[in-house]
Amino acid sequence: MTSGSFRSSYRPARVAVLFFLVVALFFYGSLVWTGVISMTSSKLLPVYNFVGFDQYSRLWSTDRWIVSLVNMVIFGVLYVVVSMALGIFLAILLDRNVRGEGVFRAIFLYPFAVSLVVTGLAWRWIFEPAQGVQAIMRGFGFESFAFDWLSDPERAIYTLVIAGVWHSVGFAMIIVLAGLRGIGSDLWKAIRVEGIPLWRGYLQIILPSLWPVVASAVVLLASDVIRAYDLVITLTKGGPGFASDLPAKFAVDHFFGRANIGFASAASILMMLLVVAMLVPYFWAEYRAQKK
Amino acid sequence: MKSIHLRNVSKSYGATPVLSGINLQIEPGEFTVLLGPSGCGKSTLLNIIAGLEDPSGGQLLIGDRDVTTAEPADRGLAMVFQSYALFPTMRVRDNLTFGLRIDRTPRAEIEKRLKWVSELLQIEKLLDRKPGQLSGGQRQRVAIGRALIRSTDVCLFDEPLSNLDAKLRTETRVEIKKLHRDLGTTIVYVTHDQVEAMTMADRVAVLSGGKVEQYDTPQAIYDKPMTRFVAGFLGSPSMNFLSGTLVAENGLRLVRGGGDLDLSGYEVTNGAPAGEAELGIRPEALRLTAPGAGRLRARVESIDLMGADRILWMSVDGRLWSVRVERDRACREGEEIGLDFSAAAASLFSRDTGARL
Repeated sequence: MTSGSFRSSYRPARVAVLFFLVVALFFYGSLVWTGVISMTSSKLLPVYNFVGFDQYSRLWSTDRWIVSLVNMVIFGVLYVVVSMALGIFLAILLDRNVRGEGVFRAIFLYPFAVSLVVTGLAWRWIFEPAQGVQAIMRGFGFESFAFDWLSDPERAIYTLVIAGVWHSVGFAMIIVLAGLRGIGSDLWKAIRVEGIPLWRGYLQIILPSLWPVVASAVVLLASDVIRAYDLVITLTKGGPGFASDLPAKFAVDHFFGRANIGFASAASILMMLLVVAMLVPYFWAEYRAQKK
Repeated sequence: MKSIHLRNVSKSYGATPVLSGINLQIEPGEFTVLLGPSGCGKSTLLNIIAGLEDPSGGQLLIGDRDVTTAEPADRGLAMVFQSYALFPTMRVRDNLTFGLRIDRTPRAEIEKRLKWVSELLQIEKLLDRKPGQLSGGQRQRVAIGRALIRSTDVCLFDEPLSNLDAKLRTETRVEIKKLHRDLGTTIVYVTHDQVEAMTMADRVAVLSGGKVEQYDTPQAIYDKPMTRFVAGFLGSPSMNFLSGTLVAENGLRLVRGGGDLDLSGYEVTNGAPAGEAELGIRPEALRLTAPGAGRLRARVESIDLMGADRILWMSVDGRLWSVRVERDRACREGEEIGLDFSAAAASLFSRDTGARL
């Protein structure tokens, strides 16, 4: 074997191996290390005195962690469902051959191009009683108008939902619209000839046939929920108190703010398990669809 | 069963005319094929009949009712599409019955019709499958079933066999014809395939450039094409043409470079033929003769074996002609040969208008 043919036949594999090593080291390595740390009593610096699942059981008796989990469910369900519902609705409107579709598409998609940090800050100003919606309405003469969700522990979490939906609705719309554009014109003709009302056509024929598209969008949006950090930091800072805390913020606070890395690692590992639990059914469905 | 009348129907997209002055009178229970090359407007015409597109002008009647502006669902028709257009996430059973359920047909009636249609098309075993689990031919049967189950007076077919392979296409063709004979529905069927048109239709409307070139029985269209376009479009191999000047004194003659061609015996369709003209003769209307004996001289260029017969390609007046001969007829490539024909079986077209003379 000449060195030339050796090189040409093995180079791709060697490049791939290198790449996989990098991924394995930095990604899975960090993962394993976090897992190990979560079993220790590390505080400011990693130490390796193992305490088993103590950090985990401490998590489950910590109010703030429970609150952040409940918040994640509230935020997650509302964010995904409302984004998808509005996104599908807007996509259907745009699909009805509206004039100036390109302009509307750009308008609705624009928030998605804005970073979550900017989104959070912008909505913070809007929600801020002293200069936002409340101040404007009072300026119009509605003296008793009150809109102070940011400082209301019961409602702060919904400000996150509103800002998040504003940010992502265009993304959901564009993905669904791409799917709608793939529907053949014959199918629409069949729906009209059969006398099927438009809304039933969408609800019972078109949207069900787009389920892989919808499922992909849902998974992507759901991953936003678990990662949500920048939005919380800029909009509510987890407050008032920790009323709008989310798990990611919880973990970062304990890593860096409170120097409790064993505890924070346990929270991170639980977050990862959540992601896995969410993705497995999706991949399983994909896998089964492919086998057919 | 209902008739369909198109009165001076036209359609244009902006300034681009697609259809102009379409007049068709389709009788109740008739099988009409709209035939033409792609872009001739035949699918647009079918969409107008279905109500999927509005005509720019003219009037459309189904039965005695003016449906020019009616919604597709209110026209009492069913339609079968080239891409089948089955509802992808519904089982075959639901595909067939969804339209009936929308119309609030009583459940017992739906079950009865479902049974009838699935037995008629032999799709009983497929009822609980989804379209994705069916073959192309099975999907087309379901699509036809979805049209038949509505028991409409009019059924429209938009190139329904184009996505099937040749064998299945022939089988389905025969089957659709049989269904039409048994059910007697008025059918309008769009195709670019002349074999489908010839074999299935009671009457064929040949379209070109948004106009009806000829509207008649398949045999009449084949034997007596009324325009040069129809003559060239129908038949495989297509009609052979020769140009020259028509002279009517001392019997009809075509004057051309290679000598005068005697056409006495030709049945004149329109007025007194004269001037620049084209003579058209079908490949099977030509007879081989000894060299110099027939009215035309030809040279065999190549020979196609077709199984049942043979096609000889020959040069006549510098044009490539085809002649259909029985397979036992001996001949060689390069052979000089004579050709003869009966003027009654020929066609003459004006060079200016393309109309039959």
